Amino acid sequence: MKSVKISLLALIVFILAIPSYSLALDGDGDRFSSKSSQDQIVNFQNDFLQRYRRLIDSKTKKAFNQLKTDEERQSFVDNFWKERDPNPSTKENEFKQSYDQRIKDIETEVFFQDLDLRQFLFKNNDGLDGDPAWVYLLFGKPLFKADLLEVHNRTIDLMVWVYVDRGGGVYRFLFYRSFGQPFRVFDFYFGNLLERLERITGLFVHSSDFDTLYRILQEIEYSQNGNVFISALYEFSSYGSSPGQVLAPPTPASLVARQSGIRIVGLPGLLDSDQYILSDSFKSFLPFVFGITTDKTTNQIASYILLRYSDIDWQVFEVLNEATQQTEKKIRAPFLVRMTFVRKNDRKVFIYEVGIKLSDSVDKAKSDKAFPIFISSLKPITGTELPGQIKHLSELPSGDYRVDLYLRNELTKRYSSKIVDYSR
Amino acid sequence: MLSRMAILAVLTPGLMLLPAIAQAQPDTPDITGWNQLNFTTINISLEEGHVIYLGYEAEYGNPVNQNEFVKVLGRFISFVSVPAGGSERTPYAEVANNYLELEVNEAIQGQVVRADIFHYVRWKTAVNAQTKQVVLDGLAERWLLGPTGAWFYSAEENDELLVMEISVPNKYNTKQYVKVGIQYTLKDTAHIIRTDEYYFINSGKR
Repeated sequence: MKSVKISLLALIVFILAIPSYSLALDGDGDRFSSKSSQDQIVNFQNDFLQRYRRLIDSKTKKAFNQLKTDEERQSFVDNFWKERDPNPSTKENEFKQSYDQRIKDIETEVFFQDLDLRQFLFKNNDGLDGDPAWVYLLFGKPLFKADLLEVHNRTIDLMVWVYVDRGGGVYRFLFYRSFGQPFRVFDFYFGNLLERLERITGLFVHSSDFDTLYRILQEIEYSQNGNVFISALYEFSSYGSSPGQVLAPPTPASLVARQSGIRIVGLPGLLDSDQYILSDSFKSFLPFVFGITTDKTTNQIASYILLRYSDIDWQVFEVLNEATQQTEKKIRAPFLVRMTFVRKNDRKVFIYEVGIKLSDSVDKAKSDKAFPIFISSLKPITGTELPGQIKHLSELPSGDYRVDLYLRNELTKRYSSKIVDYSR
Repeated sequence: MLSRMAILAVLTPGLMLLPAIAQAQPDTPDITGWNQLNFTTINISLEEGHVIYLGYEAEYGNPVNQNEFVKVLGRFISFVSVPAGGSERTPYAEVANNYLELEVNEAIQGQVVRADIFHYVRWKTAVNAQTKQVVLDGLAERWLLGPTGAWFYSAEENDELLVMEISVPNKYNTKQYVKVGIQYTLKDTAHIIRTDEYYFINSGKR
């Protein structure tokens, strides 16, 4: 009764639609030569929302429908595809190409004359709106496919498509249909196999249908590819997911990439030129002189770095002069110094790491004057106890060392490094 | 506390070194307007798929003298690309790494324009009249930027730029060494390009 009502309604809609379509054709002769904005919306509806609906979630659809102009819509669509491009370094959007090819496959009935799937046509299974098309659009050609037609006295047809991804994960899509109906994807992975068959057959396991269901199960099991059908009925995916989950619009490639942990580390942030006085001498290199020796009178390590003001990238900041109660500009530059000592005879490692905060008046920033930093007088910033870490250079035991010095301006990441020998 | 004598002892040679920048030697080649013949980045690939980007190497040809060439080594702010976590068989790792490749290319383009050249080698070629083969015409000239910012020049036979990867112990596991950069040595002058090992070492997981 319900289907009769729907058919009648569809007929009425169709009849009403005929005059308006004719008017559109008659109105300007060529309906595509001068597209009104209404036509454009219709095209966006058909060409984007409708054609790619398996990729569009409700949030995206809602956002698209709120757009006012075609420019906004086009920009939205462009960005939609850009976010889904699996390889942004290439000109082509391989994802869109692949998806469009699958649409074409469906429209040209790619499984027509396929020996594995007898009598299967997408157009007989709701075309692009059907479940088989849905799976095909998102997964493409299956690795294995089979059908099992006319089960249970010719009342049920089954079809299975199996996919294996690069990680070795398996997806088994089981489709079923009753006589005259389109294939539907099976998505009821609850209860035992007989209970699952209820959904396919319309029979009830807790009734007199039990024996019939059992016979159907045996019929499937002993068919040519029975093990695959039973597997598909038993478990959809080795990942524990359901068809509903994997048939959801796929996460855009760019989001997948962002969530995967890829990153670039080491580059400085954007440096606002007003806040910085950058050196003219070099852009990545930091000239310096490094010395390390032992004070023979005290037996203490004397180590220093000699830098020139004009070689350093400085950050300008304002500070309140308490005497004048006026703000004045100053410069500062934080540095990391790491010295790694490897004792040559036993390769024992001692690491000394310290942060230095240089600060001075602005007029010094461009000065060619050099100034020393006595590393041996500094206190380390790290409080954590790590193997080989020393908190002060005086803790370094005697021995012959290879010393690796790494000096870096923490503002701009400009650095220098030197390897020297040192005996204590 | 350090004694005054010790401070003077360590500082004096240093103060002598810094002004030495302007010592007499041939100027480094001016390759403005020269044709770039090739370009490649200087990088170190680590086992886990991390790549340390340190600088670039490029060769230029003199448009006026077809037989004159200069190769430069440039350094930029080093950075490390960290690939997608998990196995390469992870379905989305390939997509993620495609995006990483794009980011790396953008980062290289951004850094190359802010690079410092630290080594030049200039040479000329000629055709040997007897063998008709292209041979080196005269000695190659080399310049290497020293740690103080002074250029070291050499144009002697058998002068070679020695290239050596450098590694440092991991502070979380000092028995383990990690590659961090490259040391270039020309006679007694060395120039190091490197990264910070802790950009890719996390709490001893490496």
